[in-house]
Amino acid sequence: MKTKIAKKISLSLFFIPAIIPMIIFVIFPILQTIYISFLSPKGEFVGLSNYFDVLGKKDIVNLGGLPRFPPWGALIQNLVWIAIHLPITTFFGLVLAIILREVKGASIIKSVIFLGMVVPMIVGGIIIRFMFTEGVGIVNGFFGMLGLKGLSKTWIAFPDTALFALIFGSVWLWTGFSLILYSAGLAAIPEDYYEAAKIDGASPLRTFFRITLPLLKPVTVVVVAMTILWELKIFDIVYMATFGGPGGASNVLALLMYLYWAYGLDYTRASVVAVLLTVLTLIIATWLLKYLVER
Amino acid sequence: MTSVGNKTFNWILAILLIIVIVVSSMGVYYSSAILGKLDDITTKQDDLADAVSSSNATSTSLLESLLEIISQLNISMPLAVIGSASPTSGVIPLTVSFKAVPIGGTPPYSFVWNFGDGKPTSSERTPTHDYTSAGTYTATITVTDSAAATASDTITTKVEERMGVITLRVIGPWAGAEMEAFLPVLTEFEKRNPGIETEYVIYRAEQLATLLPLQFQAATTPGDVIADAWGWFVAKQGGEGHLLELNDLVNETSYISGIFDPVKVDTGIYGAPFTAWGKPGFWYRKSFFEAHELTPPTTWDEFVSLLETIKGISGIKNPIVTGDGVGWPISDIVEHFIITFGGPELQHGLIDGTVNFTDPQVKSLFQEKIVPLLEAGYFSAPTEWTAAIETWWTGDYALYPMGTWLTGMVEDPNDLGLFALPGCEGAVLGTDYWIIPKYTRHLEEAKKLVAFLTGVEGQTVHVGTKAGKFATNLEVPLEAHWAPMRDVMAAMALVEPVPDMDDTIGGTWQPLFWDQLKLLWVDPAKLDEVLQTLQEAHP
Repeated sequence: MKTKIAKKISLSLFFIPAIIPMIIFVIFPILQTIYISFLSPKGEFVGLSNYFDVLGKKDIVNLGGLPRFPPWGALIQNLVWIAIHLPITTFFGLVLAIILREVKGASIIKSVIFLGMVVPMIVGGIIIRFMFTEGVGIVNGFFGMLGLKGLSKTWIAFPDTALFALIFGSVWLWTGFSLILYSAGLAAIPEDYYEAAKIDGASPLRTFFRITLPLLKPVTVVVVAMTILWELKIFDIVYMATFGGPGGASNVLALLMYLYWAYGLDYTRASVVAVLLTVLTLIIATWLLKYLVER
Repeated sequence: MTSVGNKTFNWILAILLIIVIVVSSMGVYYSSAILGKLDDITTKQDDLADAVSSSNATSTSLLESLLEIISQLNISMPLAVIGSASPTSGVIPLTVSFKAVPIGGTPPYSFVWNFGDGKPTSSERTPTHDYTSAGTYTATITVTDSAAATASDTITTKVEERMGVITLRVIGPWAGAEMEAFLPVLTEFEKRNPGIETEYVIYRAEQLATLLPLQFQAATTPGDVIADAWGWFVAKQGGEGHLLELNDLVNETSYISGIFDPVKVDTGIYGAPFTAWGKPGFWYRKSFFEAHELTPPTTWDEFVSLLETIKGISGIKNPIVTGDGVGWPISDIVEHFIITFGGPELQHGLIDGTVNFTDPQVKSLFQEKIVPLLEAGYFSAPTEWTAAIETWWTGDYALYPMGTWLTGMVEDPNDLGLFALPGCEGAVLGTDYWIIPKYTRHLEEAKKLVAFLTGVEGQTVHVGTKAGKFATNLEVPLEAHWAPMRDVMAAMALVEPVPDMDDTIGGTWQPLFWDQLKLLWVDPAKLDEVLQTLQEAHP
């Protein structure tokens, strides 16, 4: 019994080098942020009033904006990011990985697509800004050529298009991530499965849905979880391209937190938004970890 | 006995007489000798008094003067010499002035200086010598009098390598052409202060608002001297004790009162004004106006008519280009309308909250003046303000409402024309404030730089460049300004200076103001919503 306890203690000691920095640089700041979110600017404990105050603002949820065009509030706009950006980047990544599996020189094409991941997101924001600017941007030029005047305007200047300009414009920045993961996942599927399916006379579509997709499920979970986390904490692209405007139409939680902090020097409200973001992130992260552990 | 006694008495008298005569003769001789020297002594006393009263008087010069006096008394003394040097330490190249003061012996004297660095000797009494390499040198002065007696003295001088000069990190918002106009100011400062170099880093006010509070919490600073246009932010940081008080550097009466006052918290000055900008109205190309026979408007109807005429000109996308950054250019346009149609007092009222944005006067101003122009397509959609300069200059647009710094950013400033909205009686003016964080490691050097930047010298250099700025310091003459700015200043001198609304209110309201106006610009139908939002958020 004593030996068992001693073994447990000695094993626990190995965690200390990892746990101490975690406590100092992660756990403590999180707890401190949570603590600040319950204080008034003068440092008095005010319970949940900061939460009611912030959540009651149109900046966070603006249901009055629905079902019209934005602004819908930063939280809903974050969810819109997830609803549009997640399926597009996941789908493109998967399709490209499958197509490029059979293509000669695929690694070069993959590298080019992966460049979006290498570009700093702040630069990505500048690129998006110009991509959608009238007279300069490729998107506006394209729609202008088609004679669609309504879509050749400066997308980021108008509330009905600004959010979508950011979402569509950032697809190329993130597709490289899902492409690389799916490519790795595909390479891990044994060739025998496909040969067996071929011998059984399975169609390519049936093979895809019965073999490829199920075996890529672990990869898909990682892609989905990581993409949602990225979309929840999206900041730099929005900051650079639209600054959350016009009229808050492209604002997101991380930028709202920044505005409270940097412009208002309002640490309590900024902490409330930070806590909300942390909770949302933790839900996704917990789901991901649970899935990975259970496997 | 009596005769013997008399004889003895006579002898004593005779000896006493002889003694009296000898002593008297010696007394007369030496008295005359001393009296003869009295004038010299008096002169030397005057010299001494001068030396004492002189601000440069040092213990060395006093000692030398005393020695000079003693040496000229011709008191018979063995030959001696006292050598002195100034300075006795410093960095290479070090020029040292030597001096020898001989005492006693038999004048005249001859001198030989050996400076201890292997270079030729000098026979002057007060030579100067350059030490060009580091080291500790012993200079020897040897003096010889006419009787061939010699005496010597030594002086030690410490010469050090030139150590790295102090580098001040200067933070300012100016990039591109504006930075090119600012850098000569730093260059001039470096010229005048050989021991101080500067390194310029760009941070805009909105970035500083993010960066500085955190750095200050950690008792550090990203820069030694920082320019920030947001007076409210400077006041907040100063009030929290993060900034150095500049009271001993800044004379409040040197600045244009009421608009360019230093930033104060109680009696402490924390922000000192640099050069200023104005937002005077609409810029146009004179050549464009001449080519299309256009003239600046004198009434509102003429202004609208001008826009309509311009709209009809081939190649024109919109009569007015709307600049955009994080949103501030639109706020400047709106403020120009507010000042024109509500007067400077409306701008003040909206700033201090005595007038609401939902007030009928404000609403009608927007509804009757700004919204119709937006709906008529006279303004372009917001476009990046620096990129807009080129498109405006090449003829996509005819008018550009922008600050005075535009004068330094166009190809030909002589082709620039300017008009304000007819009836406008005020103009927004603003300045950058120099601050010194308490956490700078080079406090004295930073103070020197701020004194230079906010004083006549620094402002004179800056307004003489293409910065498009004018001096806030009243002692800078009009002639010191860059020629195109003199006309602008003349126009702006006719109107009342008014503070910038969003820079003055600050906080989260500032970006909200910008953002809401961007919304209004592309969707004028949302006027009520915009005004309501601005009012609700007003601090």
